[in-house]
Amino acid sequence: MSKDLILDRVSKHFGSLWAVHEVSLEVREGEFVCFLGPSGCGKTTLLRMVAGFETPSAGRILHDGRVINDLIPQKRNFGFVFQSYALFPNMTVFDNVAFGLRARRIARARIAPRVDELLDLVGLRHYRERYPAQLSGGEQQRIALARALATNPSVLLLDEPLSALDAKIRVYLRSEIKRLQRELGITMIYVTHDQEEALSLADRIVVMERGRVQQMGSAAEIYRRPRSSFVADFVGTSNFLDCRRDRAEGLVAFGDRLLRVAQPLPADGEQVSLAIRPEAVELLETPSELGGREPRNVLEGEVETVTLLGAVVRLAVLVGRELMLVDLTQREFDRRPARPGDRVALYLPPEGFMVYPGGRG
Amino acid sequence: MDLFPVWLSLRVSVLATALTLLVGVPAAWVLARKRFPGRDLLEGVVVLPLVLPPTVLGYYLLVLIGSQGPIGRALGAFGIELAFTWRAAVLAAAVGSIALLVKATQAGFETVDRRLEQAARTLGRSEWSIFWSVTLPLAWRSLLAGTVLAFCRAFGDFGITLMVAGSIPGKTQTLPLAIYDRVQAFQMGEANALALIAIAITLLLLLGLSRLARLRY
Ligand SMILES: Nc1ncnc2c1ncn2[C@@H]1O[C@H](COP(=O)(O)OP(=O)(O)OP(=O)(O)O)[C@@H](O)[C@H]1O
Ligand SMILES: [Mg+2]
Repeated sequence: MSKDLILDRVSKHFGSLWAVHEVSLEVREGEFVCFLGPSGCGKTTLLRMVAGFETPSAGRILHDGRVINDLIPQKRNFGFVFQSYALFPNMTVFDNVAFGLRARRIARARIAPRVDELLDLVGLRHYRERYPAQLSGGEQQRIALARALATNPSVLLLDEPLSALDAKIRVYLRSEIKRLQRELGITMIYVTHDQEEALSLADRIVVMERGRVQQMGSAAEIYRRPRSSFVADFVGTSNFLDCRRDRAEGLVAFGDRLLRVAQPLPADGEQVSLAIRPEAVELLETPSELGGREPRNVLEGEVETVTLLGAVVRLAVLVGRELMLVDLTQREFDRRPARPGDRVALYLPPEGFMVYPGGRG
Repeated sequence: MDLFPVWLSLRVSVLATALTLLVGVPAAWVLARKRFPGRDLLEGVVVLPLVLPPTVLGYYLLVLIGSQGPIGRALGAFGIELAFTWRAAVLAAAVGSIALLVKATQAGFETVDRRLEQAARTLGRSEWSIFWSVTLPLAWRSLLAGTVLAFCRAFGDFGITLMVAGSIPGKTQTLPLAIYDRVQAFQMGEANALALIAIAITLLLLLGLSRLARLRY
């Protein structure tokens, strides 16, 4: 039997606030799962219940077929990595990493080689005798990883481990964590509010909002088929268009325009919310050059800003009173440069829309 | 000059401080880390000796340990007499000073990041081991400051000691009581000498404290 972790309708309330509400999910052995959601959605609380720092108000947590709700953290053998590193400031790097080994009846002679092995794994063996205060944030977090991995935990829990670091280190350590996870085959639950981090790391993403699970799935699933406008908004970037249902099949009214939508519309309700990714919007060379495109879905507007985001260029285009974001690759942009103030024609392909009931919550 | 009061005071305050540490450190830990019904009451009881008049404290202590009091009678059954002995002076000094130790140590424990203890738990260390290897080493400065303050308070106790131990020369007359006694007898020279000794001892302790506080961990 594999050592899966199962959450079964787990809830936690603080006073009258339900920080986590009936969360059910399974984390398979060796899987990398991200809890993703905005600040205050209950990610940390959920992770702390898995670690045993908090007891669920309702529901069950199972590991390896056993209910572990009331098991103390010491007996769970789950590692935990904090955003603030939480290294013991009164101990050297060596003693920090050895800390968990000394709790187990491990022969003294076998501790030092094991510590060195872990320090090699994170590439910091030369810092053995330093104190945490003498290390950079990124180095401290690598030591915290080594410390957590030293005791061979069956699950490693990470609460926004990279949020306190600057962008370059963050991306580097992200790949380091992924490498460690692959090499060691360890189960990881990684909490983050950074969707890019979640998309690039996770086998599976659990999107949370206000204590509840909004959607669960692979990065591609979540990005391509967000199940609610919240997910479409939170994961990646989306343009939203508040529309009304039209009598004709496959058409919706956006202001005084009619747009064609390839997806089936929700069964009921007058209001329809369309979402479209900035990279799905096309910038037409000239308004008349349609080349087989749906003529209704062309909107005209004026470029407000042009922002270089590295590999892509993001235009903010004012269409009526709505600001639409359009992402172009550098090459597309070079072919058809746009400057603030330019009048442009945008094409919103009917199959590029995601369709949600009602106005945006 | 009779130096007995100096030696007695030193012995009494060392023992009182030891007693204070034994009871006060666990109390400080409980107050800093645990939430339970009656916690506020406990915190109040701990602070009470700081704000009550010493004679009031001494009076109730005497009621407890006197030969007719519950503790006094229980100890009496084993042939141990407490009231008006130097042991009562130890108890008096401890009661008078424990609040200082508990408050300082509690504040020290409260500044230790709970996440360090949580991390230690996930690493499999017992609560006992976490206390000794993480919490205490990170709070030792406050503990030390509290200990020195408590020692000085114990060393200087007058009111409570007078109530429960009396001022029996050569038996329970501690340094502060001896100074009072000499002044009453117009032996100003001796009073002066004893007072200077008290100042010297206290000053030495405080100097030692600031030295130690400069160490890292
Ligand atoms: N110990 C506590 N007592 C009372 N309320 C709490 C406690 N811990 C968390 N909460 C509340 O529960 C909700 C969820 O908190 P949680 O820390 O799990 O959010 P989060 O998703 O981790 O947010 P962030 O991204 O800001 O870390 C918040 O509204 C928070 O204020
Ligand atoms: Mg959090």
